Parts: sequence; structure tokens; C-alpha cells
Amino acid sequence: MTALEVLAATAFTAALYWACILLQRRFRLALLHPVLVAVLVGGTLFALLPPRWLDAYLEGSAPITWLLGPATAALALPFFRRRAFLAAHPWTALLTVVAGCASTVAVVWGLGALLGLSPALRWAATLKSVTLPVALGLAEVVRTQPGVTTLCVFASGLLGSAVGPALLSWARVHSPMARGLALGTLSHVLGTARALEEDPLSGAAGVVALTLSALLLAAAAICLSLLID
Amino acid sequence: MRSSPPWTGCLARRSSSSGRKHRGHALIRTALQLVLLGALFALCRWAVERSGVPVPAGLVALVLLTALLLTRAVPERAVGGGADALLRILPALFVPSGIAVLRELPMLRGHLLSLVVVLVASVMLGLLVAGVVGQAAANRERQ
Repeated sequence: MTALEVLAATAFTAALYWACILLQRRFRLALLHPVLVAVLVGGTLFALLPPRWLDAYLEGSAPITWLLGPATAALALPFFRRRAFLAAHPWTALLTVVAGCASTVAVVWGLGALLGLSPALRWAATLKSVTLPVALGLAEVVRTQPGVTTLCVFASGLLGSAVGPALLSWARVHSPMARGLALGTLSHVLGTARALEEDPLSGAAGVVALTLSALLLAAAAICLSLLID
Repeated sequence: MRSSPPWTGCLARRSSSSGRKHRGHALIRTALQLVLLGALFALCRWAVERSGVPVPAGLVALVLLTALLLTRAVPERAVGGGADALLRILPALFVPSGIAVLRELPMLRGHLLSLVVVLVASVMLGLLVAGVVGQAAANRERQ
């Protein structure tokens, strides 16, 4: 990794992300999430270039990827600020997060085995409801691929925030707390942002749920990977 | 048109210079807090590598910082600004990991449709189960 690679990769990432933010501001579509568009545009660009360009970019972006570590630690702050919600509704929060995580993981492994998905892909799909900085750390532990994990996390976030509110209304889930907890558990930050649009209580529930769900799935993934090893 | 009193310009200049100074202090404080968060992560990474336990160092740092905040060993104002700054740029940090999917395309070949089916089904069912359980628990809490 040379200084030039680091500089070029950082400048490219920043410029691409900034351009994608401008694009979303212009069209205001949830599907045009800046990270998703940046990944699609950047991916297409590197697919057209010789493979050594992608190698150089990924080498040069090591410092950016390193920053995900302190950023994961920073997630403690939003959780800490909403600790009153957890103190007021500890059992509702825990029960909902455990039910959401257990059911989604059961579907991934059951349906995944039925459809012949490899264990690496099943792990990537398991990590889909974990907030991305934690999911990327866990991908290393369970030996799945960071790129596929990123796409799964995005799919879960976008799908949950797009159809989640209507699905919850159809199932007669009207409590703001239950809606926020469900969206935060399955669709992490994107779901929480959607929940916050509905109600401040839903937003607080979402933040608590996304942290609890990350911790719960992390504990499960680490225990399972130790057992498998 | 009423002209402004002559002293307002001087006041504005003074307040803008004190504003700049304040912004400068806030910037230094945020930078120091970012260094603190980086040091916390580096320490956790060192401990994880030394112990050989297969845990992401970032997750250890998250749990440790939560514990430090809850026990008030670290006050919120000591890391709050830095954490907020880092979380604001967080989405941009995901771009390289996402682009890395290009290296993993062979893994997806022939399995993309199955993966999409699994993702859609597991997200929908997970949302329904979590929502229904949450609603039942909320109803019980109200009683």
C-alpha cells in the first residue's frame, strides 16, 4: 500500500459518495441510497478497468476500512442516549429482538439449505440484519465475504424500510414501540430512520433494537463459529 | 432606509471572530475525541489479537464504550462530538467493502436467485414475527 494509492482511493471514495448524495438530494428516492449507488457505479467502473486497478483501490482503501472499527465503537453513543427506552421497556425490547432474530435466522438456514445455498452465502444472509460496521467485523470471524455481506445488509435495510411499515400495518401492528423494534431488528439503521419518520418513540425503539440485535446475532455467530471450528 | 448604528459592525466583527474561535475549539475537541475513539479501537484490536479470541475488535470496543458510558467512567461529552462526526461519515466508509463484491462474483454465480428469495422471505417473516411479538408485549405492558 503506497501513499499515492491511499490518497487516490480516499479521494475517489469521497468524490463518488458526494456525487451520489447530490443525486439522491436531486431525485429524493429511497432506492437511490448514496452507498448503494456508489457501490453500483464504482463496481461497474472497476469491472470495466483492468483487475489491477481494483486491487490498487482496495489496497489503498485500507485506512477507510480501518475507520469502521472506531465507527463501530461510536455506535455506543446513540444507544447510550436512548437507554431510558430500554430501562422503561426491557422485556418488550428483548422479547421482540430475540423473536425477530431467531425467526429470520431460522428462515435463512432452513430455506437456504432447501435451495442449496453454500454455508458462506447463508452466513452472509444471516448477517443481513446486523448493522454494517458490526456485520463486516463478523464476516471475518465466520469467514464469509465482505462484499456479499454488504449487499445482503443493504437488501435487508432497503426492503425493510420500503415494505416494512405497510407489512406491519397489514399484520395490525400499530404500537409505535413494536413497529420501531421490528424495523430496527431487521433493517438496522435504514429501518430505524424509517421508524423515526413515523414517531419519535419508534425511532428510539429502533436504535435500541438495532444495537441489541447486533449484539445478539454477534454472540450467536461467534458461538456457532467456535462450535463449527 | 434606516442605517445600522456604527457600533453594530464592530460588534458583528467581534462576535464573528469569537464564533471562529469557538468553532476552532470545537474542531480541536472533535479531533481529540476521534483520536480517543481510534485509540480505544486500537487497544481492543491489540487485546483481541493477543488473546486469539475470534471476536471483532470493533464489537469489543462498542461493548467496552457502552459499559464505560453507563458506569459514568467516561462522560458522554468526552466522546460525543467525535462519535457523532464519525457516524455522519459512516456510510462513506462502506463503499470500498461494497465494491469488493466484484472479487466475489464467482461465489454468487448460479445462486443469486436463491439468495434473493432467502433474503426477501427471511426479512418479511422476521418483520412479521418481531412486529406481532412486539405488539403482544406492548399490549401486555399497557394492561
